[in-house]
Amino acid sequence: MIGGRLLVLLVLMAGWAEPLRSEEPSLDDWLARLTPPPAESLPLTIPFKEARTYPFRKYPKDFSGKIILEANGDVRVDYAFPSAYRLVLTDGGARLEEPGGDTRDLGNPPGLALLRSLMRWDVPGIERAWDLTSAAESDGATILELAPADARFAEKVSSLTIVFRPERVTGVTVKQTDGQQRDYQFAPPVDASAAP
Amino acid sequence: MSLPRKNVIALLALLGVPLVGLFFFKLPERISTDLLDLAPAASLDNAEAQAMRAANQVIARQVFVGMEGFADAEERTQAASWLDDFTAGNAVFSHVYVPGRAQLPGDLLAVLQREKLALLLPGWLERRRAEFAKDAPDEPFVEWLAQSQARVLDRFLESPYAAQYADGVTQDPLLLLPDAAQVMKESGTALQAEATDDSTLLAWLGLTLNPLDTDDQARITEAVATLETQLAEAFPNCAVTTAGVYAVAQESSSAAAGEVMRLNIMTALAVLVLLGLFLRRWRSLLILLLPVSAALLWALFAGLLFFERIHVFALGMSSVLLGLAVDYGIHAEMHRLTESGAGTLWAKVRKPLLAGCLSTCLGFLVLLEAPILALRQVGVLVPAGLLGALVMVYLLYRALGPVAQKPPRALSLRLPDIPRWVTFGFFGVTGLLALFVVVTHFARQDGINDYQLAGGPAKQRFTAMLEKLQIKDVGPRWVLFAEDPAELLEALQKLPTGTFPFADVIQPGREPGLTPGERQAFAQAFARALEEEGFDAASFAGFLDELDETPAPDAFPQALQALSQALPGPLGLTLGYEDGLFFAVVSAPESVVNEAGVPVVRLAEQARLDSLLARASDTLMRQCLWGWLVIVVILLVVFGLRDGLVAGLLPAWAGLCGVAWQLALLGSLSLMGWIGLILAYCLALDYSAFASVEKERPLASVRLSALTTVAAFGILGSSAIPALQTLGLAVASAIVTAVVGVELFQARRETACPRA
Repeated sequence: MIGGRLLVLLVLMAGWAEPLRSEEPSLDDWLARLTPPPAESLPLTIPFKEARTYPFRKYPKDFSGKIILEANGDVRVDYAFPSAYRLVLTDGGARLEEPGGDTRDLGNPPGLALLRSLMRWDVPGIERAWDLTSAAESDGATILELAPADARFAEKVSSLTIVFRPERVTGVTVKQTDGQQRDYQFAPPVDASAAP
Repeated sequence: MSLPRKNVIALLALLGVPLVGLFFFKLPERISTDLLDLAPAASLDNAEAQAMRAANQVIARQVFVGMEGFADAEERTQAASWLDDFTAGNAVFSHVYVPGRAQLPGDLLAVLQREKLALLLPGWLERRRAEFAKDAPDEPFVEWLAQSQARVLDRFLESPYAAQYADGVTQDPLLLLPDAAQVMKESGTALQAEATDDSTLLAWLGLTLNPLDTDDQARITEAVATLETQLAEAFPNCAVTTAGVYAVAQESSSAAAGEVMRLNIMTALAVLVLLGLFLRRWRSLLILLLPVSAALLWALFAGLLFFERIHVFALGMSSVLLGLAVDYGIHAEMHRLTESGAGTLWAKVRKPLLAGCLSTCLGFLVLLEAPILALRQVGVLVPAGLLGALVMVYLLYRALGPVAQKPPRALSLRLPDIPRWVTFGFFGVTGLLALFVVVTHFARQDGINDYQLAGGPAKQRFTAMLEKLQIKDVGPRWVLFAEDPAELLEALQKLPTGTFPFADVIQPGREPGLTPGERQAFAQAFARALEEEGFDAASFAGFLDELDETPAPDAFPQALQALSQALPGPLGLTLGYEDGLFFAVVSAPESVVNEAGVPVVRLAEQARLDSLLARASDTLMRQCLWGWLVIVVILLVVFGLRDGLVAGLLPAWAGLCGVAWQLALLGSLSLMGWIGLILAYCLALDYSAFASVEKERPLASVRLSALTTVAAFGILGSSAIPALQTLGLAVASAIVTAVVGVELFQARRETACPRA
């Protein structure tokens, strides 16, 4: 579930990154260049593809769907393939909605406070929660690698890699401490009216 | 006073031996306030007693937290998470159980994970066999099972729950836990009860400390106070209530200690004042303290020798009863002050004191058959104490002669001579009247609550919280038990849905699982099928090896024991284990539980304890009648036919009148009232024994002894513990009657045998 939530925050980061400066930037510098989506652009729909790698499988499992950033601050993650279900992230926690109408409260797991601050673009909160471990450029794309500063969160997530071009973030990789890995590819935002 | 050296040494030994023993046995650590020691446990089935103790322990090892006034479900969820964080950082608490939450406590999940093959595999196989029978494929069951499960695992990784359980997949590729959760959800036996409403939160906080230990109680109290303060700061709009057995135990033991102290101090003061007024001799007062000290020391010493722990109720009751030891000293000292003849005092008081003491001891020994542990303890403590006092009187007075002193006027006052027919008429009429009252108004009433102090604020909070949690006053509860856990689980499966939340998924032995050979074949086939579905079979090696092994014969009982210990909050009542016996406490109609097929007993709740107490009271009454006959025979042997009949019948008349008094004053006769009558009978027997041998003058020692006894038991009648109050009133009223009878008898005597 953590992957789904991270996905949301990373999508937020994806659309509004600015180019690297020539000097060695700190995480603060990066974050200062990122701006939240303008309120008038909400709701915003971002198609995505996800590949989940498990240490006990020979090849990854593929998923796809859409992320909808709601005007009220909620974030919906609608998985469409290989099965349909929805994750809704709100200020109070997360819930799972299944196609049959079943809803399950997922509570408020340890990493949620951190994720909430990221989704709200709480820059001081992000700085407290993440440490920049490396930054590199390749084929016109910038690659940032971050590590969680929170010890409890770090028990589950070992690193977060963000790949972005000047106009938007195109990919994110979340590596978990148990060997699992999530690779996300984000398409450009589409018209909000396309959202279900 | 001067005593021979050997008497002094014996006297010091009499006090020193029990004193050293008390130090050795660490008396303060061996005083019990456990309510169950007041329950008539001997009448309970062993399993019921075991289950009752275990069920009470489950409730005792919790602190209940109630919060009201949440604005919405979100704030309620935050409060539950706050409790998680607080308990995680506090060593006093082990876990939080909040009904209605999705997450299970880590301990329970860990046990389910660790013991999944023993607990969940049989039920899982049974369901798979049913599917196999339905689909009727051509391939063998083991092959079908391996391939279908590999496909199920592949599809599971595409579900929304995969992210939550992916960590556990290599250890549980059969998905035993998610499968069990799904079955429980479908059968409506979700592990978590539904939350009451969004504005209220009720939580069970497991304790790591012993709620009945004084030091631990202080630590728990401190931790709960911190919890309350911080909760109030974090959720200022919510009202917070906490309750727990630790607080009730703390409150009741403090109140009981206070009550015992109050009764003892008041009794000691009253007796000292009376003795001071009538003896008017400080040296005599000091001498009288020695038999009382010997009585208390020997009572405690014997109690610690015979019992692991002494209940505070037995201590309180015995300490007051042992005040009777002062009577022996009074009889001896009064004779010492008023006698003028030659010879030692012991020779003069030996016969009535021995008869009185031995018959009183015999009376109290009847209590050894009492169904209540605390009363059995009284049956040991009091005789041991009285014998200690008697030996002390013997050591003191064996060597002492009389010190002639004019007795106080009130004690030496002679009653006018009363014609014989008036005396016998009085006994006859009052006896018949008492018999009429007894026959026409006889009623019995016993309640376990009579043996406790009324509840203070902590007990009221606790009771209110139990009612909120719906674990009290929800109808009769039953204990189902069996040594074979499979037998018990089969029984639980016959009960209404939800009685035991795991009943649908833990199903040992109903269907054949897999033989050792089949398990091995399945492990190999499953490894192949996993590879075919894109998995790396080597990652599952640990699980496959475990599957390959033949389970130990006791794997299931041991796994179930571990599960019972990890069940949090109220779930701990649904399955328990103690000393080789599995049991479950269920709430269901009697007709249903009787069909379950395993032994069933009703849980010893208040109604059950009350009825057992009443039955115990009946038994005790029958035993007392036999005891009375034995005493009469002893008296006849010691005193001869005429004096023996007087010594035996006078107290019987006083006892009959005592029953009538109780029925008139209290409306019914209870177990403690009956015990009071036994005591009064024994005391009256002392008086009548002296009356039988002292034919020549008023019984000054009887008058003084009766005065102190009535004062002591009158004070006991003021106790806040209803049982002690009944005892006090029963003895005091019967003793007054007995003394009146003895005086009248003496007056008749004087008519028949003119004074010299």
